[in-house]
Amino acid sequence: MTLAVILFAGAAMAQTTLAPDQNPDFAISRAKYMKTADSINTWQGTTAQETYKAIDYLADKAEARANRRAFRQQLRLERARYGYSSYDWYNSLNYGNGWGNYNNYYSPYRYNRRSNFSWNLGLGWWWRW
Amino acid sequence: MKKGLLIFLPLTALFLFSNCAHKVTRIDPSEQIDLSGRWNNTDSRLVAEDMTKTILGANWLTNYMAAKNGQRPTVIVGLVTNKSHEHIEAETFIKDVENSFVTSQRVRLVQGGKKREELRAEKADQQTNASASTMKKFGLEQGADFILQGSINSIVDSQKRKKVVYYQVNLELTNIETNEVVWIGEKKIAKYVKN
Repeated sequence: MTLAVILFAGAAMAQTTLAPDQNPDFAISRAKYMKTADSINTWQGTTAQETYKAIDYLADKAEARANRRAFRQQLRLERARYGYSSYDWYNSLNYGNGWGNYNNYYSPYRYNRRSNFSWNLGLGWWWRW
Repeated sequence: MKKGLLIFLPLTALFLFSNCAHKVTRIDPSEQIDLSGRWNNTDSRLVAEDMTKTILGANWLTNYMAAKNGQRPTVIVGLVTNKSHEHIEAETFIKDVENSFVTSQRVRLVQGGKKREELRAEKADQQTNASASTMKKFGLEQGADFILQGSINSIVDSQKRKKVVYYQVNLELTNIETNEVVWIGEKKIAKYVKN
């Protein structure tokens, strides 16, 4: 009997704390967001940078040029470090050189771009110099 | 020959140095100078002017004050998401909007994010270091009624050396308790860039 009275009183008290039309299960959501509030709120007043890369002919061209320059500089450094013949530095640097391995999107020598014609004239390693 | 060189070399040096001289001049921040066609201070200023003008003149403010017996609403600035193709810092125009809230005294502004963390840390420090009469209490912060959030979007259409860039900046004011969006500010900027 006493337990029933206590339970009823508790339920009545809980009911009185609810605002009009408030969802009685609000505590579930509150408990969930109390845990994450601190980390989420640190972003307040800031700008989240979710930028994308636009298709821009001139910007792409400038980027390819910068990549080629960086590659050439790296190549010169590698040559100075290892010499011309003792190390296969060219293949080790076969990345990010603007045209990459001569078969990427921007390369005019790209194999099988629109036809079956290949710009690789069979000159072997010499061609790459 | 030598005489010619003696005249020619100093003249060339003078010409080169005069061209390379670093020069800085102060300009009016409201002056429109477009160099690259990318987002610049003029765009930020245009957004700020438009947003401050519309946010304080919109219905949400009068509606709130009428419902709350003339009480001023409290606003907190939330996150602005830059989904454009350029790095854009929204703080440059958000600060102007905040400034309009404070100077107009029609909207109360509360601190959020890392600045609020700093305030609480200072308050915590005062609990053990400040004199009892000057120590600030916890639990007396002004709770915000609305949150200002935003987004920046862009569309780029380029063909060889011509480019049209379109920016759309949106700011939204939402009632924190009900999630009801009470105001949306929008500023569209389009640029034609020819290189």
